[in-house]
Amino acid sequence: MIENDDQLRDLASELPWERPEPARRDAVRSALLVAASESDRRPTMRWYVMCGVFAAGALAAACVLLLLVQKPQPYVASAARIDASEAAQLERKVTRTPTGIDEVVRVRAGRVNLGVGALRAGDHVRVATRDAEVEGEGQYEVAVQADRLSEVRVIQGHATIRITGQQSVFLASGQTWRATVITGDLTPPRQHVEPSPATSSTGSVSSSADRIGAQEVAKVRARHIDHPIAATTATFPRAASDQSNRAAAPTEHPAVRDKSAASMSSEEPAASISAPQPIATARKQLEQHFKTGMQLLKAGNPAAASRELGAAADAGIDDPLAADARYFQAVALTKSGRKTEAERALVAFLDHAPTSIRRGRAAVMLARLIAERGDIAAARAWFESALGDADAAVAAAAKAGIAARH
Amino acid sequence: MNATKPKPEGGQLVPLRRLDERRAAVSDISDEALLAACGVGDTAALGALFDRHHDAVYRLLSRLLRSEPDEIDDLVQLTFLEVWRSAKRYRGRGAVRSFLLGIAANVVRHHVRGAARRRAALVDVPAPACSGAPDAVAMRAQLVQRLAIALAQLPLDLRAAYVLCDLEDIPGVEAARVLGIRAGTLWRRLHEARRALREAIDGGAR
Repeated sequence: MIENDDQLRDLASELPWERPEPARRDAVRSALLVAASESDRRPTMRWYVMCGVFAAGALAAACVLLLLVQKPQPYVASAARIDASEAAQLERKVTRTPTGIDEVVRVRAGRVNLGVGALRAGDHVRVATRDAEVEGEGQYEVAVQADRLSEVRVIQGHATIRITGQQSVFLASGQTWRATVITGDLTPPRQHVEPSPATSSTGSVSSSADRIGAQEVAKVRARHIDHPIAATTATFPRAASDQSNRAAAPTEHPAVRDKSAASMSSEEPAASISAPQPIATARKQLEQHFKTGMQLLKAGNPAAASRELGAAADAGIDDPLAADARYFQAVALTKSGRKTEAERALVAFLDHAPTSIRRGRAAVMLARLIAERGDIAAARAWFESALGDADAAVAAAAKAGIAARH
Repeated sequence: MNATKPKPEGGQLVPLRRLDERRAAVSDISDEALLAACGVGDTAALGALFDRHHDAVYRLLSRLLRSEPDEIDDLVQLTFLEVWRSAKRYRGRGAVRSFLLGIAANVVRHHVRGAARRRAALVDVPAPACSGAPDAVAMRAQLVQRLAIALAQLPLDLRAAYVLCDLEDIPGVEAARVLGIRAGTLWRRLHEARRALREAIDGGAR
């Protein structure tokens, strides 16, 4: 019947098929064009796939971020090696900041030796006191007295000293910075007269050397009293024997001393920062000297009392009793007529005892001594600093002192 | 119906954004240009393609899938919609008509993927018509009827190969490309389809 493919194809060409009606065809055409225009605006499968991929990526990133956030913070290791004296009082705090690790060594007293290795960018190792901050690399030594920076010595490397209200000081290897000290020389007088305080105010006999020293102290005192902050708070740098000598030395140019409260030198550390000794022993010596000194003062021997009280004050520890010893040493020196030394002792006391109840009395005493030398302006400043004293008698004395010198 | 228009002089393949803006007669535009215009979103070009190739697509679908006219209409619309979406993929390899019919064959393949639909399609074979024609004509009509039944009973792959190549005169290479199969596979399917149809017709005659 069907012998080859051509016959089959001819037969297949006769297969019937129903041609659609024109109306149906037009309906399909219209529906097609509408569907085509709508599908143009409809998001394609590719768009859905891209959105899905993006959403999956965002989810993965969020998961990774969450894992990183929940990851425990690594232990923050200290970047500094610290050797402190036995008497040193210090706290150490290491915190992680957004930029790195910040290590703060808060020193209140004593001598601290720091070895700081190479720091990464953003890391800091700082030594902080109440009034200053030291930051450096290498090996440097910081001495603090009464919560104030007294000395910085760079053994190797460098350090930057930032004191409140002053310009920063940069120290290179081998350099030493010491706080400027303006106090009197507490060495025993070569000649002394023992007039009463009343007689000393009216006039006393003193050696030429004492007079020269008194003039120098007066100059220095006047310069610092002119400073408003110094005049109102009387926060002078603390005593240091070598620097007090330097401050009183007539060969030193005053501008150098007045330029800043800080000075740089390449000298060895000040002798006033004595080697640490057991606190109990020092305290015992302090009490012994103080007790003897007060007994001598009450017994009417101010010269001997001043020596004992001076020894108590120089005991080398930061103690309120030492400050009191300095005050009573000044009283004893005044009674013994050694006014220059009395002035220095009073300044040292005012510097070391910022919260003592005897500050007002000491200020009035100092003002009277300065006024006797004729420096009315400086005396007035000290009187004014005692006007707000809690003791009404002291405030009245300060007021009377101001009124008497108008 | 010869829906394929010869290419204009110069083989212009410029996409038409708006057919009416060109103020050109639809008959002057080649299938390739219309398809390219579809690729850039010209629905007027799609309408023109529909007008040219609707009958061929409808015929192919009705032969591949014996079903209700409404369903065929739906598949026609689906085929041209797929042409609209796939127009950008046309690279000029083969005739546009082959491209369209290949898409139609694939649409049918997806449509009858379910077994239930396939069974329904097989059941929907029209009964042989009884006519009072003379013997020769009646005999020819019976052969055609047997062929229709045999074609409907062929597997879809064989049926598609046979309809595309023998009924719609699509070259074998193009048919293989549009169906997504190798040429050898197409020839094998075509051979099996012809043999099965001949056997069905001869068997029915005996």
